[in-house]
Amino acid sequence: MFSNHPNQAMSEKLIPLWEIGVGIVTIAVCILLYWDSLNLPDPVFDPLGSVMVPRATCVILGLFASAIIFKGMRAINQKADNGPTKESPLNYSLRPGLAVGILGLTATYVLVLSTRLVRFSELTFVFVILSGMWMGRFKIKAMPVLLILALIMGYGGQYVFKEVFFVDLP
Amino acid sequence: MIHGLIDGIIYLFLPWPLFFMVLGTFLGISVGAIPGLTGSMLIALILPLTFYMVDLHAIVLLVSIYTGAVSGGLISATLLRMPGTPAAVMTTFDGYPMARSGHPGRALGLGITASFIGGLVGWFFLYTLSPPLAKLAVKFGPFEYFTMVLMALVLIAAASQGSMMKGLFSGVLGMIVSMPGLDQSAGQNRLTFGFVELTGGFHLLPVLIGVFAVGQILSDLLTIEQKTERVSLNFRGMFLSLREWKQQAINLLRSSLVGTWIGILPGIGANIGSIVAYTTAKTFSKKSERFGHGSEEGIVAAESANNASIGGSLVPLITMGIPGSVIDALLIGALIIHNIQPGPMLFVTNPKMVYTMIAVCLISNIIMFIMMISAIKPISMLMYLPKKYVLPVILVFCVAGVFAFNNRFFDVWVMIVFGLIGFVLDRAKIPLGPFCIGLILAPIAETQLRQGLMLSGDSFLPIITRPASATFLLVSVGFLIWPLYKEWKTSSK
Repeated sequence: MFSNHPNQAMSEKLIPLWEIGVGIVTIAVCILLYWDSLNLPDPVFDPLGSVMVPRATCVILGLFASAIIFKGMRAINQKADNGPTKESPLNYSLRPGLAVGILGLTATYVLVLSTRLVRFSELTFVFVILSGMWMGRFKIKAMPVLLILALIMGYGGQYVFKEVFFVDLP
Repeated sequence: MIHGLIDGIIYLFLPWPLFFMVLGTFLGISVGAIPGLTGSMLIALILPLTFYMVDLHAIVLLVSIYTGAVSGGLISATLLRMPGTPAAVMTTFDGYPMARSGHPGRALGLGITASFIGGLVGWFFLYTLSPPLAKLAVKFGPFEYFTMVLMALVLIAAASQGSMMKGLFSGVLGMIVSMPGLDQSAGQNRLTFGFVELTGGFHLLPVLIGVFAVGQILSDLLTIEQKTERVSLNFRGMFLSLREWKQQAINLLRSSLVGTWIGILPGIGANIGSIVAYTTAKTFSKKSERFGHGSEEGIVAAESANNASIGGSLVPLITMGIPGSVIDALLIGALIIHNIQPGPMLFVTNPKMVYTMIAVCLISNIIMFIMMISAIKPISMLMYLPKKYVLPVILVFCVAGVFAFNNRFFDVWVMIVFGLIGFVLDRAKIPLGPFCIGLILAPIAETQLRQGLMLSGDSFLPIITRPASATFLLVSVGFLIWPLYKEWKTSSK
């Protein structure tokens, strides 16, 4: 019933890499935050002041991040020692490109909205259709439903947010 | 006490509260039933809209969603083998095999009724325990609060599935996110890197919507091609006879009590409650070999426990302002947005709010039961809603909702960045629950610790000399060391 899809095996294998990535970025952020905290004045009213808790938190977070990097590296080494393992198969393919693409599309949508050059209603109409079509692999049969949804979200949303909630939407 | 509850119940039958309660329960059941959408996601999305509502209406809506979402998860867990919410994971083990063997109606009937009874037991303890605990909590000083928050953080990290290290990492990450901005105690800006927009810090709402809604959408997009294993829908045998329920009575009561107790523990919610209850039921069962193959006891244990934990987890929220689960953390966020400080003083300053919350917990549970029993067929159809129609709509709600909160696009960008962070953490199998708890509790912990130090003349000693804070600290250390020791021992083998 299930087909052994290479994407799933890839996804499982990537966990240690994600762990290492998260750990490295976190340590970099901790260093930045600690460095910024050096500009803060010494405590006056209590022994901790504004500075001690963030600094201590940075150090603790850095330690945990290091432990996660270590864990990820150990997992990679163990896998290398044990050789290829049998991964659990799944019956679908992962679509990382879609996730990244929709995130980019959303960022573009927000960017254009923030310029206030296009109205919320029109832009949302386009966004719903584009993102929905992309998710459905641009099959034309999804279009009628997406059109209705785009109209509701775009023009209905504009009315509700502006006239009912008095939000200053573009 | 009884008058407060009666007033709360009467209030709920006024037109608007009743409307929000029915709507909230329905929405909760719906998102619970749709795999990939969770109660946390819906509550995070609804939060900006509640800003425009009367505070009591907002709480009625949110608590009803909570009840509905925890219950709705059993539908897709039973019919698709996909837990609609994390709390319904254990239901998949027996609900789906039973449904597959031609008894989906019976599996759903068992789950729905067990959820209802579990919810009643949890509510009973919420109603009876909250007032005395609040009275006790009023006597707590800053050090007790600080150590209690510490305990909540350690508990949720310890209960994180997978690795405790990751749970702790997530919790501390949430803490650091709460720190940029104006330090209220000293009037000092910190960790803002000179950005004026960060003076007010990261607002709860964009961060929560980012992590729980946008991050979840990105994860859903990754697995959008996932095929579901459907079972044919027939709803025969949903109602069990009294005799059949008598056979389940002990299991039902025990699991409900386990769920309530786990819920009361700060930081741990419905999913852990159902796991512990399921394991306990299996241990005590005479037919333990049936577990995992369509056991009625398994379904009853998992579902009664996860619903009982709703009432249980509201106990620390109402009495101490400490979240009992991730959704409770979001509820605290909602109260803060409405300028209501949760905690023991809430009984004095806003008793109507407290008793309305307690009453909603009861009445929405009854509505959930009626709704699920009478409309299970149309609700089940929601599971098959294609994500290509649902996700774009949710994304628009995320953007518009976050913008509506403060009328500024900076918050929307914060939401997108935290969506990415939530997605990456999820990929690395780092739990998001501790992040949320850390984010909400860190400011409380810091304020309490600094207040305590000012009161004690810069001395940390009261943390170990005051009995309550020493106990909380001891429990925290115990929960911290034991799983780490076990993890180290397992990995060194």
